[in-house]
Amino acid sequence: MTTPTHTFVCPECRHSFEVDDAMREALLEAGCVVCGAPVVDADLTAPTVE
Amino acid sequence: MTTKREAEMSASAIDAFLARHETGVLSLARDDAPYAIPISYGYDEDTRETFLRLVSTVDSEKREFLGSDPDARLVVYEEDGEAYTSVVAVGTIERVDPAELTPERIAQYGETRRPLFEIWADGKPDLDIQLYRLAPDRLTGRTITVDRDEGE
Repeated sequence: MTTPTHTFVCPECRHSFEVDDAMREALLEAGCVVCGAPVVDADLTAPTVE
Repeated sequence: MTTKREAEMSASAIDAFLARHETGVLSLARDDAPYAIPISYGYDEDTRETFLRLVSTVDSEKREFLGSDPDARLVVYEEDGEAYTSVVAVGTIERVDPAELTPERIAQYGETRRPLFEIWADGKPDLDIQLYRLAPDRLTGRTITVDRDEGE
């Protein structure tokens, strides 16, 4: 994985982990890798810049 | 009289068979104790690896067996008329960290059938769902065709 750009939190199983852009795209396409639930943009949050 | 013909499957036939199916029986061993469960899986024909999502609870027997990368066998079989086909993958099952997955692996799990959560009384957040990978040391398959004599 390259530098993480987002944190993924599954809306159904609540598993959470950091992802890079390529993983983010794959999750949006394939769903939660842990439970298979559909993933939308809102489930992937970018770090807040202070 | 009944006769039968038995044939070893080629590597490509095994790959096609495992890719076409999505459920099998996973057997694990710990000391002298066996454990077998029906599972759903995804199969990568390029790497010949099998991808699984396994669900367990804190005190489940499954979790005890999965605790230490156990030796494993995955059996996938089919009965189609007079042909019986089975494929056996033998190897070690390893836990996979979701954060270490490549986009290709995420897509691979996306093709893996979802576990049957409906049969669990608990909601998903209360279940322990883990990803596993079986990279077989040995992958074999065979087809047995039975010719039955109608007059028998």
